[in-house]
Amino acid sequence: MLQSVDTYWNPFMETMPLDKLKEMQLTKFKKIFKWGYEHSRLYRGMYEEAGLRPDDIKTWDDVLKVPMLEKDKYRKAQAKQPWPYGDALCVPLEEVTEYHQTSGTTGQPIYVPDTWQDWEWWTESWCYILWAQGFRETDRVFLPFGYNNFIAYWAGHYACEKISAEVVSGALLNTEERLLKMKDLRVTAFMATPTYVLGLADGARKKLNMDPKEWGIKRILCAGEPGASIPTTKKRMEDAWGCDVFDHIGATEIGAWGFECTSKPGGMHINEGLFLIELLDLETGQPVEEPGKLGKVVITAFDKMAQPCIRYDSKDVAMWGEPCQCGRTFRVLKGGIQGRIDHITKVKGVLFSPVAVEEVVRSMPQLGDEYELIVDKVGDIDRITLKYELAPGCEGQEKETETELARLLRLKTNLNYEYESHPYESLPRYQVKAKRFKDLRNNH
Amino acid sequence: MAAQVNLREIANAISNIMQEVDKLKEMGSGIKCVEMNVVRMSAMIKMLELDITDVADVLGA
Repeated sequence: MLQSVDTYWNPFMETMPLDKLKEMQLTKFKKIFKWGYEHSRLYRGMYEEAGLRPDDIKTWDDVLKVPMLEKDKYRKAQAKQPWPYGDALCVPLEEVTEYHQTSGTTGQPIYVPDTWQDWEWWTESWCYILWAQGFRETDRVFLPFGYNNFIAYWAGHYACEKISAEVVSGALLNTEERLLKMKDLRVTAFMATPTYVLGLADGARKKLNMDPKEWGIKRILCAGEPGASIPTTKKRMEDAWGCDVFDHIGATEIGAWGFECTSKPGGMHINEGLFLIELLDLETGQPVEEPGKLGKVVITAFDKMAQPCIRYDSKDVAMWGEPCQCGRTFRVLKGGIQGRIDHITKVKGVLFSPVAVEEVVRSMPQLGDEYELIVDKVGDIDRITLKYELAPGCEGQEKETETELARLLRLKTNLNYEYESHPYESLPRYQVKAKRFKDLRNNH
Repeated sequence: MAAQVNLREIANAISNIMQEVDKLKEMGSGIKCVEMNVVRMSAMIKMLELDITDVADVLGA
């Protein structure tokens, strides 16, 4: 259902008929393929090896023939000159104005150069997100992150300025100082990882003895972890702050490609005007078009020029959802990202995704926000252990909690677990990229 | 709503502005304050091309 024009950052793009959107995407894919082929030694090498030239890309079937890019290829290409971008770079080094890098969670970080036009593009893609989530000129937005080398909310900051919201940086403040600043300035919105959103609320209650629900926050934008698309985690955050919580997805080497809108469709829209998202069957590699079936997420950013992102294997797994009521024709990924290919694994012969455990843990009010999941082996047998904390005031409820956990986790994951109760606040706390899942098996 | 807006007319205006900016770039060649501000102007106009012109082209507006 089409809403009023000011619902959308770009009503033309966001409500385009799907067939026209596809037509535009194919045109844009051909352009970025040609750009990569002509300007990047990395892409040219890959495409020549596959026997592909720009004129060969005519149809969607041709797109499927384009080799996928993986992080390791970036890493190898960046080991060459010009430092530090090497063969991945598509523009003269002197045109690069922005440097960011990936976190290096899976190995050597990827270095990401942007020209000013690229940076403007980052900002523009974030404007789509902010507008869809109800951010407006009247908002005062707090950014409690480190403003370091990682992309995090950098582009969110610039996009807030572009939509004319007021931005308040909380960069060098500690958690308590950030909370006080948020309260004193009466900020209306902030951006953080789900883990930190919960941590801040906890801090407000414990360190300041205040209820953050009373601070008038209207909306929170989450990124960095899938929590805001997990209904029980989203509810915990919304209950803690008394406001709407929205999800967003992006990556340093890709761009800001997905967002939840105010209609909350149970997933995230893809910005299909600026990105091509392909879901590929986990076994056959063929495109997945029907809703509800898991596929590997492969992403192309159409307009990222200094270091293009063309058919990038994100290692994420997702599924299509149903159309959203907001009027956007941009398709929806149901439940956001379902997990990482390297996290979706077989335990005791059962296909297992750690996201399912978070959904259960966060649905039980007697449990604290933190948990840890360890998979290891006892002899030849897989063992999966859930370490949990009981919430304050629920001490001594281990037995009934574990009975309930066993029931819910069995239903959700078809697995039996070992349980370890830990004192409240003794499990690790994270501000970014929580690492709650550890697979200690050597050969799985 | 959006249908009342002439998409092609906006796209044409964007194209005209880009041409003027290109002219400015040429005229101010070697003058840093012109060159560097033109880089920023061009980037912003490019975003309008992505937002509007690309859509107008595919919709045949």
